[in-house]
Amino acid sequence: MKILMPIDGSNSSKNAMIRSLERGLLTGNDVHVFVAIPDKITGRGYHINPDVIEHVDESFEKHAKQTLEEAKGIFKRYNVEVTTDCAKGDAAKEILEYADKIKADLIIMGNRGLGAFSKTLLGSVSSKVLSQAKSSVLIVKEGE
Amino acid sequence: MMKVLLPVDGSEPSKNAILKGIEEGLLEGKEIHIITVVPGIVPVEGYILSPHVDDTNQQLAEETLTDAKALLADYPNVVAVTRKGDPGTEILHYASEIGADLIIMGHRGLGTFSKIFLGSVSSRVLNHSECSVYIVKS
Repeated sequence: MKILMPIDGSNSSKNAMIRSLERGLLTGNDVHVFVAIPDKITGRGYHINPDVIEHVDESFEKHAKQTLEEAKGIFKRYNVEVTTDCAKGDAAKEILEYADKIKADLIIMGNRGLGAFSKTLLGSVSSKVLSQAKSSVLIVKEGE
Repeated sequence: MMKVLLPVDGSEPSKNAILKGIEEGLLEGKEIHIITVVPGIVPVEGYILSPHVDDTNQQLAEETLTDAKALLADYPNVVAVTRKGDPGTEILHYASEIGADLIIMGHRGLGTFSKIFLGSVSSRVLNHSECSVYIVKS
């Protein structure tokens, strides 16, 4: 079975990985961990210094790399093989496209990512992926 | 023992959710709870409700549970319950009551507008449950 785990370095996405590994859900499956990198900062109506944009871009990429390295470390602790990948663009759109590309059978994700308003029960990315994914989706809640 | 809750309503997606749970070994060694919710009677002004509606709903609930139990015949720890009321609310109550670790359900049940990706009950349960929710698409 092909399992896609979109992560963003948030506690919710870390929790989703650890819970799934603990429960043996990922053992013996083809697991892909994926990070979507925001491709531009929007400041509608504001002039943003190109240097700032470049700096932000770099830090997004660095964060993505760190997130994937951390994921590899977690998987290694549980002796589970993992493929890592990333793409630039809108998070939900990139996740859905990647799921199509690898023909994911299941998407496992945390209930909330890094977005604001963390009191909302299901984040916008999780919510969009859930409603548009062709595969089944497991939403892992924190503090179970 | 981990507790898995399977809300069922006799619809195809709810049957598929059970089959998926079996197929993926999610139910192995677990305490399995099946719940079906009989809709509470909604009085419509100006209409007299036939008492048969209640009986029919009750009967459907029993059939739904029988079917679900048949699918899970190989599993030793299966508890089946019927509740009356709003499905989302009753499922959430029951999940807290037993301290469910995981809820597995179809992306939609018997409701209308079957083209919508996530049914109202699944959506409500997903948003308010304390535990993880596995939404099975068919």
